[in-house]
Amino acid sequence: MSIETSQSPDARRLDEGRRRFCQAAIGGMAVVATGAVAYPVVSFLRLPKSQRQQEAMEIALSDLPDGSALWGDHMGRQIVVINVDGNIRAFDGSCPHLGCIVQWEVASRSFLCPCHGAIFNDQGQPTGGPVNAPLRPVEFVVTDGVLRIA
Amino acid sequence: MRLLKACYEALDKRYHITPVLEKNLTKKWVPRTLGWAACFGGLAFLVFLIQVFTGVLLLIYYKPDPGRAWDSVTFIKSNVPMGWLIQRVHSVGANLMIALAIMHMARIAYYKIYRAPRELHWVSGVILLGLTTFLAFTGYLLPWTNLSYWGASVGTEIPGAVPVVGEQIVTWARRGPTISGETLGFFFAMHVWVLPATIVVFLGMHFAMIRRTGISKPL
Ligand code: FES
Repeated sequence: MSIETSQSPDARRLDEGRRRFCQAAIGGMAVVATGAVAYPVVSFLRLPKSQRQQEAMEIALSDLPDGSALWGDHMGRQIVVINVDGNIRAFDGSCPHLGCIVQWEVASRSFLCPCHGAIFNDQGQPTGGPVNAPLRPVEFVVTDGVLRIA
Repeated sequence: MRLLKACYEALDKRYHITPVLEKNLTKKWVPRTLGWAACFGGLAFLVFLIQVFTGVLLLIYYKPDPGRAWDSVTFIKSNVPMGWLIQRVHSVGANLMIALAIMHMARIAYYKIYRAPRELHWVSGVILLGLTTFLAFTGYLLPWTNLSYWGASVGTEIPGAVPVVGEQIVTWARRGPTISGETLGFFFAMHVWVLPATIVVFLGMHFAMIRRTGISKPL
């Protein structure tokens, strides 16, 4: 296929004009199309605001038998609630050393941090490892057997 | 713009890109008689690329764990900015990809394009349709809804009809006697890696064969 070229200078100028118009139109459409794809993708990659962050955390105490622990998500923090001989305590589950989430050791009734081996007793006080700060206690209220962290 | 042009010219001088582009893209003339129906295969491929792209985006938030899968998909749909759109594009895209592949194959079958020397184009195409179906099937379980749970239950039941080894295949595909968290992990691995990678291999062969034989000229 060959493209016919116009003969007269006038016609050639007209051709040039058309070509430039088409180029501009295609360029414009390409920009719009790119924007239409880029906008959703860029917004998707922004930090989503979590609805769950506004919500209070609730735990039914019947789910928390003696010696056990429950984890929950509250305002972006990992909360651990323990039951030791009927005493309920809640802590921020992140280790005061470098912020790993501690584990609850049922047998020894203590917290063990998996990262560098910090140990805390059931009061949250450090008893070993690289820390000397306690686990941060978390305020809660209990109504009708339901523990609530606001 | 001028910088871009200078970069391109420098590259072109060394690697002679322009003739390659012209031969394959800008000066590659399509036979006049080819109609829109000849686009279905290419469109199916385009949708595949969209699926890969949106799939990677969804992976950022999706959690392949029976306790959290449904939550994470709901989170994508309602909390992530534009998440509803990305998720919808991915799920509609799956259907579209299968539909386009079938329309592509219908045209090939109708015009008998599968005849020599293009028999293996057809064979690789059938394999690709199968892989695409598995891709859609494994993806369907991932949101971990009631519907997807029973979809996977019924779907994995099908090989049970195979004599002798049927039951083994069912248990193997489910990673256990029933659909469970193990199934979810297995389907997830298949859906995000194994099947797409296999599809890419077969697409490569499919395209390479078409380039070797050229497209079939309409009569
Ligand atoms: S973060 Fe817990 S011991 Fe280091």
